[in-house]
Amino acid sequence: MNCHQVEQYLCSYYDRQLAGELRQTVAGHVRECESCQRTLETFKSLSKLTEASFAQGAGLDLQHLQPPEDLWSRIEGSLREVPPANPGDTLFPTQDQPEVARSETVQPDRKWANRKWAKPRHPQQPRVRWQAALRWQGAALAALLLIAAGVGIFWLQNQPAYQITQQGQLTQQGQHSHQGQHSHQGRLAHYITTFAHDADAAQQTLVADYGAQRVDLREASKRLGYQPKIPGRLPTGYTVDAIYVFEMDCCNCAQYVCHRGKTERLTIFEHGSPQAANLGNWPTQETHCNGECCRLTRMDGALVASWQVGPRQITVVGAHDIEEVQQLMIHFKKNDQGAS
Amino acid sequence: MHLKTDNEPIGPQPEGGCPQEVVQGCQGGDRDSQQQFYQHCHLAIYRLMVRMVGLQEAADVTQQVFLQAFRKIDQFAGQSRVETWLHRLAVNEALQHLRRLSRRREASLEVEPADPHQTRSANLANQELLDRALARLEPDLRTLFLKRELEQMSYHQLAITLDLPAGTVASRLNRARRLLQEYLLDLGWEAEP
Repeated sequence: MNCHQVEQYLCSYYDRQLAGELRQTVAGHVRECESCQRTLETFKSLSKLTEASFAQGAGLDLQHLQPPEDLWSRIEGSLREVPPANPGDTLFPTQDQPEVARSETVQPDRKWANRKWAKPRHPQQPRVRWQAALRWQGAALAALLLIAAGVGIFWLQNQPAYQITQQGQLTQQGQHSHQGQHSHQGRLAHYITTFAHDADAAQQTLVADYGAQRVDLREASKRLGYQPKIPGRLPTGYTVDAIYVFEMDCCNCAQYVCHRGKTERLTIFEHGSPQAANLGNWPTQETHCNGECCRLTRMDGALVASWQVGPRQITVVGAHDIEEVQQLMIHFKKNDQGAS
Repeated sequence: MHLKTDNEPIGPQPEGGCPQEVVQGCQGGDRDSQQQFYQHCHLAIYRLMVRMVGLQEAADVTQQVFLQAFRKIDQFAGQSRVETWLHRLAVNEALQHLRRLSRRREASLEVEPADPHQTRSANLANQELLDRALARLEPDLRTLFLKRELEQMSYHQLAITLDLPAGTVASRLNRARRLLQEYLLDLGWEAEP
């Protein structure tokens, strides 16, 4: 056997899953082949790294380990309540926390920095005057308001056929038919909640749902009917990996699949209409940064921020925290003013 | 036959998979079905969580896994075993939990950066490098790799648990390892000799 033939068996050999004569043959090759030895060393290093990173159960007799007897009771108890988007995460105040009036001016270093998700400000980072007018809307109240007002759906202004609940269930509202399809709002909510766990799967589903195609910048401009604001204007450290154009009834919308650093994913939607995305009754709060209003929503671990830049609505999915949203808002505003 | 076969039980899950009516009941929000689903799967999930997040936090994360599962089970399309779907969700939940812990630790240490120009990646601990590399891996490959490494499941057990054709476990594991290595090297990982 040569290297090429042995390669397909190296993984099984390393995992001691080869039997009989084949194992002997592969072992014989490996003894003589430095390249295959290096591959096995890499597998071993990966195992060591994984073991070291997840060494929590080491030394425990897992086969006889039992969970606490009251675990189901705890789960059942939580199921009786309306589950928060992300228990333990205090991005949005719980209902027993005091409501902050919309008109209240919040000093960023107190209100914002006291939250778990607000990263400490770097000493050299410029202070930004956040006039945060916060308004906590309880999920139930928000849902009632949304349903009562029939306030739009995501990007489709006149087809509020479905309402997505915090449990991710899609329920029909009113008489509108949607030909058996999820509404835009439902699709977006599904995209965002999946994005937090699996960005690739979320993207694949979204693209499949809309039949969207990946395009280059020139084609994006052509289909959108305007020059996109985002590509070429991202802060240092952000890169656009792909551009998709989604055809909506109201207009076309661009999606920029980005990463920051080397791997961290972030998605930015640029919508031709200034109307904010409607994310259903997920807890949302509004803030103001340098006079610009921004809607923040936490959905299953993914932070969604939406604000207006000129005639467009920008929606960012996957920002780390408010600090990052703040920086993007300032950056886009500065670039928008520079360009106009 | 090239690969070892075995007749070992595939962990603490009862034989036969979760009945379809239980899954359908869960999708309808039926509490009895949810309890049956929990009884069917909780040992495997709890032990995986002990492996991934530690004994102290395993129960809390397991609780979160089942809450997420009941919240999202209407998205389960039945194209794979529900146990496979749950395992994937559990792995993601555990990784997310570890990521949150890591960020909190980082935030508590990040009072005065010694060098503001120093790149973040230079300071990444190996655990975070692995976390980032795993995040780039396809979900199915990620689950397969972690279950093999953490639970030492045989290929036969992996094929049954993850609903894979027996012949593809080796090739997928091989792909997972090579991609992980590529991603880790890309992040600046230096393999220990």
